[in-house]
Amino acid sequence: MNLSMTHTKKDTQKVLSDEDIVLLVIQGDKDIFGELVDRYEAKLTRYVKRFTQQPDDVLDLMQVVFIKAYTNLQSFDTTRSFNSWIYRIAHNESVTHLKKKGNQKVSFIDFDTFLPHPFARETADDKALSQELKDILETSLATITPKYREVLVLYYYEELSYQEIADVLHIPIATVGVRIKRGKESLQKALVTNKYQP
Amino acid sequence: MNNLKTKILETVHHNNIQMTPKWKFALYSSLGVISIIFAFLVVIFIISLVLFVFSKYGLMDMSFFGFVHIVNMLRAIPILLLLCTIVLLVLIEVLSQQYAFAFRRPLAVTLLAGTSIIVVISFFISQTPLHSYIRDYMKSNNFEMGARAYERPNMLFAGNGMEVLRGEVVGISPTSTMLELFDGTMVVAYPLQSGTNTPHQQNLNIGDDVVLLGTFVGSSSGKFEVSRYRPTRKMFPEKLHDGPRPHHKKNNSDPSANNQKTSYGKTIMKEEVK
Repeated sequence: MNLSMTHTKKDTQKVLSDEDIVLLVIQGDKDIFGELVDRYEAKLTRYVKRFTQQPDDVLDLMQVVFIKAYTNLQSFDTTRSFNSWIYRIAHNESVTHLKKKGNQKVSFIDFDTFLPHPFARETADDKALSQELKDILETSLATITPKYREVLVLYYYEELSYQEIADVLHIPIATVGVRIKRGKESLQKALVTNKYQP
Repeated sequence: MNNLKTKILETVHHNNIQMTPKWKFALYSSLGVISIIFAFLVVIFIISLVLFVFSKYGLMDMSFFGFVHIVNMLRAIPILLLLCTIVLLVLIEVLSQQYAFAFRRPLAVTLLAGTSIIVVISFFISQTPLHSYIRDYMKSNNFEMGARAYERPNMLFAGNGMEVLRGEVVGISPTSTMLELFDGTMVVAYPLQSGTNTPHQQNLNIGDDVVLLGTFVGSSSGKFEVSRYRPTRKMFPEKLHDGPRPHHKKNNSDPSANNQKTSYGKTIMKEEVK
């Protein structure tokens, strides 16, 4: 009886949306927050590891991210996407971590966001290349500056849309396209420098 | 149960971690919005003050005298106020980046849009009697610092040392014209040399609003040698003085005021000569 009740509760949790779970946590069901941790742990760990390029610190960073998400849950607007909201927290924590470590340059002033850029999405051909690009990226991510590395990770690995990336990074959508383009260019340069042979 | 999930739930339960209450977020958000609005209003006040002072003392009309004087006009902008405005604009931009309407657009677009809105509102405010009332209030209540902001900017133009004056004609004599500036200073304007285009060669009347380009003579700040002259031309007509002034009231009450135009001017001229 008890086992079946637990089973039913777990099943119910599976069909609930992230936003519904947030509402339940706010109403006092602290344990159901664990479901959100389950859903986002793998994604965020992957993202933070690739963005920061510091695998040893990822577990600590993930704890901070989820505790921050829990304490700030009441600031989340349930009519919006929880996915972008929690990625935003992970982004902020990663940037803070990189600044603390001081070994990677994270610029405060960003001229990419200053001027309007023509809106350029990836084409179908670019998408087709993306699997090959993912493999190349994996080995060369550390050579790219965090600003470009992050959009490439969010776009190619996390498969976020331009709009979602813009919401996570708080930048205009057109700037997302510019950063992906420039990220790929700097990746190419890095590959040429490192004499990469596909 | 996986490791991270266990750790998070244990931390939440055993360390008694509480969610930040909603009212705190509402408070922070309200403070942010209030700061933006406050900074916005301060910038509008500063810019409208500069436009008001420039307009009342004739600096806005310098473009009548050629492009070089537009540059001189820009040089007359108080550096401190300009710096304050820039700092506040940056503050507005930084604060508004927290909101989707701002961060979804390029910085240049929001900055340009914000600045345009501020300049347009400031211009319209500078055309209202608001600053005249504030100036009068500050003068009557001895707020020296505040009243000083409404004084004529100290400016000397590069090269020829010429200055611009805007005044209302209060007296006319055969050789000169008496002007009253916005701050109540009386100035006697003389033509620089024969043939100079001066107020006096025009069919001027008392009460006309004129802009002069020229130099003050010697140590006397009341004598002004006119190099060039133009009547003020405004897109949005405005009076130099908002509301009647005491000595004008006296003239207006006299039915033979028109006959006194010249004698009024002459009387002042006599006093000036003494």
